[in-house]
Amino acid sequence: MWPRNDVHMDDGSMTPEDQEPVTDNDMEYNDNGEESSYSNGSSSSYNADKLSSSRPLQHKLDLSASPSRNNDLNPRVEHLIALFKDLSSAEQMDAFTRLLQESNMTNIRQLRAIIEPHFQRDFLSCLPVELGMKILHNLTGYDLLKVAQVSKNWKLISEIDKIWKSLGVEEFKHHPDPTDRVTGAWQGTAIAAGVTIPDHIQPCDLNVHRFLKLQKFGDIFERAADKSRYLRADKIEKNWNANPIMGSAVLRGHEDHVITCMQIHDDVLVTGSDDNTLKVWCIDKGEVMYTLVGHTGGVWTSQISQCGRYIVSGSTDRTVKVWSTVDGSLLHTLQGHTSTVRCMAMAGSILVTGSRDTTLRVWDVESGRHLATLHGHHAAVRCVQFDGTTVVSGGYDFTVKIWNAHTGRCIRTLTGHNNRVYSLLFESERSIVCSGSLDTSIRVWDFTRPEGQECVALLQGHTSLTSGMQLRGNILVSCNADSHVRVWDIHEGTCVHMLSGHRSAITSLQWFGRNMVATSSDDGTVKLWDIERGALIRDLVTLDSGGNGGCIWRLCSTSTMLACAVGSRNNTEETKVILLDFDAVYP
Amino acid sequence: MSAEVAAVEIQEAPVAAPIMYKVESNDGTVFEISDEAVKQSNTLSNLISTCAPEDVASMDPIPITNVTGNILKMVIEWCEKHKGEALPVDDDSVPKHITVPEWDTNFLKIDNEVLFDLIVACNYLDVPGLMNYGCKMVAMMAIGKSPDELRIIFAIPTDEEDEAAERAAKEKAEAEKKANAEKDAAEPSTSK
Repeated sequence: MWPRNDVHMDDGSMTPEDQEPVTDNDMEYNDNGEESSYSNGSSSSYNADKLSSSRPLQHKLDLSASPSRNNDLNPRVEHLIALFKDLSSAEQMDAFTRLLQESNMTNIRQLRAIIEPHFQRDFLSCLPVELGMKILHNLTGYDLLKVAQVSKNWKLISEIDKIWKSLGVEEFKHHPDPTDRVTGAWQGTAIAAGVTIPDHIQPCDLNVHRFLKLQKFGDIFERAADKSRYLRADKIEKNWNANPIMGSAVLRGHEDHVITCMQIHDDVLVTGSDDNTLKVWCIDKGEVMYTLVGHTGGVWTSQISQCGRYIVSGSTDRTVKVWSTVDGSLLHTLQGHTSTVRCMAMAGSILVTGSRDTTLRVWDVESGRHLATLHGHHAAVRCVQFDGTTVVSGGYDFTVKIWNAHTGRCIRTLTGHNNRVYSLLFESERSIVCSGSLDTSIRVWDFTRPEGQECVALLQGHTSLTSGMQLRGNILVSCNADSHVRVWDIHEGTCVHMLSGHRSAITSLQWFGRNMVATSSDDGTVKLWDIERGALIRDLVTLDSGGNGGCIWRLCSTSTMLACAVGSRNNTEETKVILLDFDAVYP
Repeated sequence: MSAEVAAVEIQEAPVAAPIMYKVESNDGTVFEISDEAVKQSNTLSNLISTCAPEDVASMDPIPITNVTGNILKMVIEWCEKHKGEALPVDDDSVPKHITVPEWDTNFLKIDNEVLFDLIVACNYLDVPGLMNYGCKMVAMMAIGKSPDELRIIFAIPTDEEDEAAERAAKEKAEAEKKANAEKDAAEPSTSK
């Protein structure tokens, strides 16, 4: 056996020698073969780095084979390499440069394939996963989506939950689970004669969309839940900003009357009206659950408790009523006020109500007990805020008062406004109060300062009554009867943006997401603004009867839905609530 | 007598020199790193924490068997530059907002091959500051790029190319196996 193998090898080694003297053409053929082989080796090397750690070893073996074959086949190349080794580094560089100039493009391309891996490195596939995560933690969600499209390896690493979870830290990215919103009133749309919803999807496309809405948890959610959450939040934001509106509904009720107040808590919408009733609606099912009957006068203010179990309403009949959201039953009637109950605020189960009788009263809505009466205002109390301990009230006597809810004592009276105070904000962590008045100004107060120095900013520019405000950090957004929205920096006391577009008094304002503000107006429109850029994003609802009596009285929203109360004072527009859906499923 | 006392006093108050530790890379190159700079590397800090200062001069170099000379040189250079700085706290629950200072940006303008080895060395030596900067530099290569651009920058074949390469490798293996089989078949014949 062995001697025979040796003989075979001898035969093999003799073959090239036999071939060499035969013809030059044969040698040329061999050269081409070498190139092809080398190219294959190079390609293998290229891929090996990416595929697995064992590949480089295999590639190395291949590389070692090629030069050997080279040497055997062509003594001239070996001679050249021996010369090259004797050169200095600078001389080698010079030789390289001149060799490149003498090479054809095919060879140069092969050289590039050999050299480039030294300058390019697939970090994510070659590094341990925890180091890959350190790299990806530096990327935004947008870049991570691109990374996922590069290769299977990159997709796997880019979908690790920890990376996406950190991107979802912003509170604006948190949304309740996807909703149905395909039954009840959602089976129709809010598009009707006289109501325009720009960008609404065509009604004939709605059925497909309704089907897709029910597929709430997609493939990405199953394999990378936090990426899916991020993508859904991004989609919801786009649904507000740019995408067609994919669902709407009309809730009909309170016919021929004004909807005076509206609140949302989770899936519950409560509307109060001067028809003496409140209606409790289930948003997702698009239907009314209860009609709360009992008041003998128009309802002018209402609240839903933070726990969601109680609805509280105040009325021209001077009473406050506490209702259960579970079954719509009346739990308590709170009597004591001697005139219309005009405003209220709740913290936990403690309620503070303000009245035209110039007093505020403190109640426990669970037991129905009256806890305190706050005397001090000289005219109707128009607005109130409450944090559980401190009450802040504004009134028609031009003053803002700070009270201790437990003792009933007035701690501070803030004076400066020249006309009725119509709106209030209270941020107890910073002891900041913002008050809007018919004197056209907004004042920012810090009531922990010495008396006489409480007013820290006077915001001027509006030309009428401020109907609503919201504050985040040092940014205050206000809407006014002068038809403008203004964005202020309360620290600097300056107006950052003035948003024009409405043609009549603005009735409500809602700030949600990072920089989106929705406003409703007597001109019959709901508009969505970007308060960072100070620009209109788009109109959400437009009534044809706007300008002829049709108006939007109230607006409120969750992060995925907007509700606006529509009607008119001269019967040109039917009273109803229009709902718009901006939700998305988990992809 | 008083002169002698004065001389002794002078000698008794020398300026404290930094303690220099010797480390050796896997190719046998020996480097020195100061006691302040060593604190940037948790691994090295732990290794020397039990050494008495007076023994340092006579110690053999600390062998760093996983790191090559040029990479170890870079790590030590970085540690010397950043000695005295606090180590970054690693919190994965929030997005990173790392800004790479200008000196470090220039320091890390190196081939991807070298940057890769540097990151691996940082992982082994536990140098969190340089690790964060290195990872940030890699991330900045990826920011704002399309998938095709990323494939070019990082030399990544598409999944189709991967599959083609796998198929080619498989065919090659099968061909070799077939050749061996033929060889085995030839042997029995010869034996006969």
